[in-house]
Amino acid sequence: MDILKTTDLKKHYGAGDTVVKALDGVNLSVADGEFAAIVGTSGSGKSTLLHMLGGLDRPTSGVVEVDGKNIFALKDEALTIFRRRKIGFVFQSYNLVPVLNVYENIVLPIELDGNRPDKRHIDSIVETLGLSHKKDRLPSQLSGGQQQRVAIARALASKPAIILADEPTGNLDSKTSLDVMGLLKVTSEQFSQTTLMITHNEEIAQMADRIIRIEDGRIVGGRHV
Amino acid sequence: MFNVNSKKAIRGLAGKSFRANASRNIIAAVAIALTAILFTALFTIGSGMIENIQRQTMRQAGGDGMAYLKYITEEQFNAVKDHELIDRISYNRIVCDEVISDALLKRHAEIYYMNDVGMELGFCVPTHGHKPEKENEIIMDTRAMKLLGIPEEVGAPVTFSMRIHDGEIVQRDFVLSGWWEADPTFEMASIMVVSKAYMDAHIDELYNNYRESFEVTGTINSYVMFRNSFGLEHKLERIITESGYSMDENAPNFIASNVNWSYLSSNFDLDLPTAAGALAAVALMILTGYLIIYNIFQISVVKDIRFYGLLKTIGTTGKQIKKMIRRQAVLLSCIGIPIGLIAGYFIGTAIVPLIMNNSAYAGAAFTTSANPVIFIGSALFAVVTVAISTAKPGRIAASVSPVEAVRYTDNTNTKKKKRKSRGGAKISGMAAANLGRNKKRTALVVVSMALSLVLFNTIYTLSLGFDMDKYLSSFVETDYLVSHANLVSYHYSGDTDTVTETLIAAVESQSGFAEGGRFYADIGDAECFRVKPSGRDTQYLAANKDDNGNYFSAVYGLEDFPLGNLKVLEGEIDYEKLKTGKYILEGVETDDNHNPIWATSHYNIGDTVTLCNYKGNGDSAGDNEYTEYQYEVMAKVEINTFTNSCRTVYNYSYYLPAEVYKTMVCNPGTMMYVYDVLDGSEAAMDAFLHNYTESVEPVMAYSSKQTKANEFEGLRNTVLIVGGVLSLIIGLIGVLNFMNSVLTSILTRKREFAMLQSIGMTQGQLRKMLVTEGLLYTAGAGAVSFALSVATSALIGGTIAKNIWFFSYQFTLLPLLVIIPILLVIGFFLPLPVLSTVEKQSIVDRLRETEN
Repeated sequence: MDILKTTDLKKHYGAGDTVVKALDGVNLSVADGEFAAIVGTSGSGKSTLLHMLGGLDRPTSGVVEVDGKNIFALKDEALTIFRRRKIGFVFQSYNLVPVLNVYENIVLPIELDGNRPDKRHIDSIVETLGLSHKKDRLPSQLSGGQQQRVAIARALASKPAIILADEPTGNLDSKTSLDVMGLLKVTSEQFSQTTLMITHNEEIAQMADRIIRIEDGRIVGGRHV
Repeated sequence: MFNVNSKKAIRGLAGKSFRANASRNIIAAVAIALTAILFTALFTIGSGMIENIQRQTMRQAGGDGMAYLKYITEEQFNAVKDHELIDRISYNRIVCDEVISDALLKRHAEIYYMNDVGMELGFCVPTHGHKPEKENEIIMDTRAMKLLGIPEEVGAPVTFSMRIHDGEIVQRDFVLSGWWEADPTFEMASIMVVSKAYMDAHIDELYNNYRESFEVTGTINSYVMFRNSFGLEHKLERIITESGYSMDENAPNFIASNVNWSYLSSNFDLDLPTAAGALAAVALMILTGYLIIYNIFQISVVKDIRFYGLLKTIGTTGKQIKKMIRRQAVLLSCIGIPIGLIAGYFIGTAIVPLIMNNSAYAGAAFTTSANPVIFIGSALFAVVTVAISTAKPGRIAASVSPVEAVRYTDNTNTKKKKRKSRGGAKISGMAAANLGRNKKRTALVVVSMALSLVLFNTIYTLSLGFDMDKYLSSFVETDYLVSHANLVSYHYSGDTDTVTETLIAAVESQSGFAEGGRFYADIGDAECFRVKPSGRDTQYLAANKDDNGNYFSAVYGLEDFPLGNLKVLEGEIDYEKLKTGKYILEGVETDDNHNPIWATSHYNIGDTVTLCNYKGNGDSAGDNEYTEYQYEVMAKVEINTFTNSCRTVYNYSYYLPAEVYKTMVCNPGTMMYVYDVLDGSEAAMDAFLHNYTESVEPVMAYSSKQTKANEFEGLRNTVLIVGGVLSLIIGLIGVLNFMNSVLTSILTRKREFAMLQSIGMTQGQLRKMLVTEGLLYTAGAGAVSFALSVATSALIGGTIAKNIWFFSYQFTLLPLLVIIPILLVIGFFLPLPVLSTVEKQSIVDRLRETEN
């Protein structure tokens, strides 16, 4: 079953001669539990695609279905709520809330939803990501790798339909990158979590189950590893 | 070392960075302008009030002068006049003890010869006609002319009967040579001035025997002006003692003198406390300005820190960066300060008449001079404030390391490494944590807002503490007091200037009349009283003795109503016993706070008092029969100058029931009639008395609780207006500071909000968080102002209450309870429009924008 599906997804900026076709008719589907990597050069449209998939931005035309639901049929507010329930984001620059400690950052999306965090689930994520002893730390006290692990934990916490990771290792050195990738992979398997990751690093991409190539706003190929 | 001329480059950079910060510039310029307004308005109000109050009080006192020398002789004047400390000295020689004229009963007149300094300082310079030159020329004010029926024309004839030495009455003919407009605040007396030729022609009758007879004819009063008004008492002492005279009343070479209380710097006898108060006010304003200007610049520097880091990377020195920031501050000052000076001056000049009209000085014309010192001083203080406020942000920018700058966040002074979870990430918790990011800034904003609250609460406490009852108790005990005009002008004697029975009957027949009683006294007439020395005689003037060595004394006979109003200081009054005629009450003076001055008491309870007078119907004491009376002192009661005395100080005062008093004199003089009215009939009674004393019996006078109450309200309003305006401006600065902080904190967190929204924070939740932040700020300001207000309130209770006699301290936080909800509303709504501007940008754009 496809957890994520796009149909003829287009995103154009500007108009007339200066129109920039960031996405130019993307058809993509991701199966439940899949760990896929989107690769492409800078400016290929991979970040725009991820933003569309996560409902952060609205397309010029086309449909994105997450868990069988056309997300752009939702109003902004409803879309936000849908996002925090169904999608977990991991950003290149971690994007942790500086005034909240590790634990608070992790449970933030759940609490924003007005729910009590599933303590056992959280504990097992924290355990898996090796953050057990750092639950009270503030983000500024953590290394880059540690911060990214918190971001991954946060994305996993609400048991989303899919995790969207935008260059999760972009700010990390190669050893830490492999660490983080390993954890992303492990958790994806352990929690049967569909994960879609953007990267321009081929080596990193190799760790995914599937690689999707994008160029000039179009999917140009892909293969299952 | 190369000497690099980098001025142009720095100037260019500063200008560009200046233009890039448009919204900061607006807020900063407004803040600087407000700070300048504060200084200018305060200085204008202060100098305007001092100027006007001085002028008015001088007019009331009869003249401008930092000190007065009283009743001096020609020889004394000549000895003193050239003292080095004296800038100007007037020569005002009194030419008679009294002007005898029915027309001037309600307006006591004094005739002087004055030199030019005297006319100037005494506000007696004629505005029409000319100064008196010929022997028969005289000038006076329009009020006296109206009372005397003299037309406003030079050459109009005037004839006066004047009492000079030894009761001798002389009649003199004058012609009017000039006049000036009467000042409404100078109610009590009219001054008239004759020529030097007159003085020279009558020099024989103008000898000075004040020390022996208390006759003022021929004595000289001098107004002394020093170069400045600091340390007046000390200077006065110096000119007297260094001229070979003494300030000791009992010394043979004593010169009576006093400093002018209208010169504020020595008014409260507190050169130091006044200076300290002014200093505190200035410090408060510098602080207010600092709180906001510092905050604005600090925020802006942190925002631009990468820019400064970049400049450093390419070789800009710290000094040059400091210069850039200073230059921006100078530019902003050039815009803000002139605006502030002008606005402040207008606010100040608008407030001064408001204050003055609300004060006892209402009715006169007020001016506020545009003293350049006000502007120079205000500008200087504003510049100092800006300089202090921008120094630290300048240092921060100058000292940033080029590498660190990139990672510099506004979170630098968070020493905290850990944060205890309080049950997860509640939105309110996040809001609180956000305020904690920059504790110093939050504190600045909170204190900035709290300042005005505390100030306003203090002002309110102060005005609330002005105790009308305490104030009124010194002037009125009963709703109304009617008397002969002579009592009001301190000339009451007895037989001839009593309240008429027709007035009393008219008053008692008014529908609102409730209860009243007569107050008898024979002070200066044939039947006046003396007392045999008690053995406990005082340090006071020994001159009030008759030929037999008995002291002249004030004995009052009171009907039941005023008798019941006496305030007992010692002992107890048994009214039944008192009326047996064996007992007497001794009057004791009190200070402003109604504390007895026991030195003015001469007896113990139970002591015997022996009074004597010449009882009979004769015109003089010699026609009457010497009579003695013995009483036992039953209790001691308070002498209240305006409510139960003849308004002239007697060392011995006694109170008796009217029944007893009437047995001691054949012709009891009704000094006054005091009464209460039914509630709600005050207006009618005021109208009745006003009309009666104007047209039916013009020599009768009255005072009412209402008129005094109005005076008092004026005083209270003055404090409220001045304080209210200052609080408002400081409050405005506080709110501006708050706005700036909220605005910048939202703008700098644009990306963070986008990130929060990307992980699922809804717009509503984001709003809730920001509104909570706003509310926390205001709630913090509220809490701080509560705490500080309690403290300052207690301080006021302690210190002010001691300095203002009609002050009774009451604790209140009412203004806070009224204003804090308003602030909460501001805190609630302020973040919303800013957030909507931010949200116009899409989440993706915001996420991207600051990433690179």
